[in-house]
Amino acid sequence: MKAYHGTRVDGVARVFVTIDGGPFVELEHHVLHSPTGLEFGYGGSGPADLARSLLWDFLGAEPTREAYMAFKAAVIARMARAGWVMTGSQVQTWLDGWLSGREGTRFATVREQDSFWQLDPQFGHLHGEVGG
Amino acid sequence: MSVETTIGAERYRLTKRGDWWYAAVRVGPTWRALDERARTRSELVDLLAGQAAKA
Repeated sequence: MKAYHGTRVDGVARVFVTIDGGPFVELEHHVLHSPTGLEFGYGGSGPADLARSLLWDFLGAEPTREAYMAFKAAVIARMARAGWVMTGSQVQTWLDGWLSGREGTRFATVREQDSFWQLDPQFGHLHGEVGG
Repeated sequence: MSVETTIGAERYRLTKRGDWWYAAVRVGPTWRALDERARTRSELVDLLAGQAAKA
């Protein structure tokens, strides 16, 4: 299983990846918001790049801005500033919870539209014409 | 477990993790994750095909 380790070396934030207890490899920094490096423990540009880079590594694909910004706010900004460990299954759990919330919002919108159509008198009128 | 497939003009990578299938789309030299998932591969293909038809 993949795990991510955040630590500080001489005060500088560093994040390493390990698979099944194997060697630690530094997380690739996909630079977008913070050319000066990754960060964690607060909401900012360094944490945004960490959220994006960590999800990118986990997914094997560039995450959407919506996904990594939500991940930053919910997870990266709340991490201990001294250091932390996060397993791949914890990343997956967060991702599924977030996707589930989005799907819930989408379905709620559909339900509202359904109600609208059911209550729309014009719809009933048209339906009556077609049926009659 | 991952498989690649073409839907419309786009190349997709479908990945199964746990109980769900997830999708990424090829954009230039990299893959871009999509915020979509489905319980089965065929449901995910159906979902992506629907989005491609709307685009």
